[in-house]
Amino acid sequence: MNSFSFIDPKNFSDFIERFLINAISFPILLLLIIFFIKSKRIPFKQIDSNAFIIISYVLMDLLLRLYYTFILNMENQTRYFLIQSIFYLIPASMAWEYLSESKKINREKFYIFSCCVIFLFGSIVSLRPKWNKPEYEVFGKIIKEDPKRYKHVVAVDVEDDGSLSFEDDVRLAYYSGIYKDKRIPMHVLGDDGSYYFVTDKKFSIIGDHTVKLIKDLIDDGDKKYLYKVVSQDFD
Amino acid sequence: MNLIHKFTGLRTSNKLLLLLLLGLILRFLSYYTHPYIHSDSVTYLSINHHDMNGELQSGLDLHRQLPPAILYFMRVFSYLGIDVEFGYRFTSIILYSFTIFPLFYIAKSFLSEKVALFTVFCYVCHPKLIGYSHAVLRESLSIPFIMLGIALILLSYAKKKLSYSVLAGLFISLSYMSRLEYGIAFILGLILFCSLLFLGLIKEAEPKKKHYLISVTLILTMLPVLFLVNIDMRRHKSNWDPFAYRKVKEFVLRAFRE
Repeated sequence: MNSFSFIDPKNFSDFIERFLINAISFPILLLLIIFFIKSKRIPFKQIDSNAFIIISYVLMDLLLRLYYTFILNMENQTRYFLIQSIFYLIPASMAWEYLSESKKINREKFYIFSCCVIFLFGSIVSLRPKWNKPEYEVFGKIIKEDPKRYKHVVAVDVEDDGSLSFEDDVRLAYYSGIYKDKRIPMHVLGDDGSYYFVTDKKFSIIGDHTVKLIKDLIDDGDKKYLYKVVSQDFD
Repeated sequence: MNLIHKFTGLRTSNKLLLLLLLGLILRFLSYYTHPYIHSDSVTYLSINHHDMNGELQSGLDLHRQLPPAILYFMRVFSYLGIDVEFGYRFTSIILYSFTIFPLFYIAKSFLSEKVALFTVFCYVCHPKLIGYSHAVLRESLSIPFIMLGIALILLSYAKKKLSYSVLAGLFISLSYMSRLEYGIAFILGLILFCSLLFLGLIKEAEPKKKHYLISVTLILTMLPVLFLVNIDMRRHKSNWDPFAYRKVKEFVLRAFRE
């Protein structure tokens, strides 16, 4: 039997994507590869004690992440690898130092080019808005119109069979951003205890609950529907 | 080219201040281009909302494992009358931006000042480290505090001063109270380091006793902090278990049954 059969291939690809691509980022990954190619192997006994504290910590953190991902099959988020991404900046900077000392390279041009690439990459990727889905806009307007009435949000999950179901937690509506891939966002609880939500599909039932169409909404040419849950039993 | 000469001619402290300014600008710009928060943030804010209404238990029921640091932190903003989301995101930007100083110290202790400066520059421009620096998440507290804790423990080893170790213990406790993994990884790393020291596999680690003393001081500082916070959390039905008491109990009971 294959000893690695417990590793789910989806977990593996997910780990690679979140850790190597998202958390480490492309320019740093490139520098890390250069570091591994260029660095001379340092004998174990030559490593400084300060460096050992950091290496021990980063190694243990990585082992915990591997344990969580592959043994416990826990969900991965890029943010779980932030400590790795911070400490890998040190060997990446060492690789940059190796490159800058190379005789074949004009040092000043190299400084300008490398710093510009890292700065532009960081700025463009981080400043570009990612979560401006039309639902946010539509729902934001509804909440702003009457914030006291639309006091809470509730999340709706998509089940494996494509049907929708309510999550059992009720959330504050005016903190209105929800991560785009995880849930259908923007669902409110009015002060009369009724749940409202916006969606781009027409339907009449969510799980065991029937819903009533309150009004049609148009946002950027896309049709959206505001629904109210008619029959409900959330207790 | 002139700009490069001007920058390289600056003193290190000035270079760091410029990088701090750049970090603040990028983070605040990112804050304005991303007005939305994560789904987990909504849960944390909801718990704070329940807490401020005097119904902490119903809030904790939304997330029984919630480590308490974020809860205490949000309380501060609520007591000050500041919008919790804004206060948390603003403080998070400040904490992440000022993390360049411990990171610079850590990187400098590895190789050279130039490498450390480039490390800080990469940290300042790293897209994910910008993105998460204005989030209402537990990482907003745990990352800056663990970095500060690690820098202080390195300082403590370098200067052989226990006071730095005590401070490091406090900051690592705070990080542990935000995300358990960071504290666990640090303690395991410290155990690994002390074991290698004991086996004589590490260079320049003399005198060993001082290294052990600093490590023990750090752990002894963490224990009362975590113990007191655990007592506070025990007043509610919370599954936060900093000493893994429940897991050990389950393990022992299962072992006896078998």
